[in-house]
Amino acid sequence: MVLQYIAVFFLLGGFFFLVVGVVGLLRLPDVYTRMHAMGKCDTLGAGMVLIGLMLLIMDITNITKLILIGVMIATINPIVTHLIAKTAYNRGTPMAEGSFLINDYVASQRRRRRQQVDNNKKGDGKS
Amino acid sequence: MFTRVKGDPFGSMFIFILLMTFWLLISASVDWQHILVGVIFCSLLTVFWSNLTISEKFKTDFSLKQIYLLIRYLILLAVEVISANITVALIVLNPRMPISPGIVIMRCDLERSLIRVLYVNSITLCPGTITVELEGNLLIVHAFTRQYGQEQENSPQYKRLLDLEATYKK
Repeated sequence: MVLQYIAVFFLLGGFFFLVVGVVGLLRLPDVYTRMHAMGKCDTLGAGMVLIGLMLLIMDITNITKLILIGVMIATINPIVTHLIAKTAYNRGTPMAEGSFLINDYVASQRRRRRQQVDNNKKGDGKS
Repeated sequence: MFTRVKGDPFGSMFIFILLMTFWLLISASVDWQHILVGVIFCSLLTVFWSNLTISEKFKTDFSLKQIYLLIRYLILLAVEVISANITVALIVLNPRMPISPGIVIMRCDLERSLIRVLYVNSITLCPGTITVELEGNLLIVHAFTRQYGQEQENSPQYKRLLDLEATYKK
């Protein structure tokens, strides 16, 4: 009996996150922010629904199949999110107004090189 | 076709075991007929796929420490997924929607393809960031706010994955 209540908790939580994903899809301004909502909420929502179903079924062969479905959702969902965002970016889809752009590439390369120089100095001092 | 299999027998064995486990999980029975068919098709797939799944540069290598690091990383990832969903729910259900989205370009020093895929997926599943592009060591990330984008470079996942890659290099 307690198990069924736990299963219902997981199912309702999963439905809540799926609904949040759809609301985000409707409310957020552009493609990239919409992909935030879909990519994250679908993973946890479908995962929680699968856990609830596992608790209700309690049959080892079917549970392994549900676990496989969960693993596939958790790997495929971020990849498809990444693909949609990449295609949109390479096609030049406009972002929402007031978007920022931080280019940290050169700065991080410089930071890394300085770190390497420091490490080399330390190595020399020790030896 | 067969040269690669000879070149890396451990890698072929690993892929064969992986496919066989998948077959046994799906078929859910241990008759000798099932096992025979599974062995035939898994070995065929291993031979024909060997030039896709096994690369000359990175040989398959396995140790217990890597499994330990991978499990620790996956636990951290599960916690991050839950916190990311709560963040998205708070942003989406807030009537004022406190976002100022944008793009962050930064560097990624990982080399092995599996670890790169894990890193990209964990960025997508982390709160406030998704991956837009990863090419060479150039990584483009889309973030909800400035703060999420700047914190990403020092994220604990990245450090865990750097540790994991350091075990391969020895």
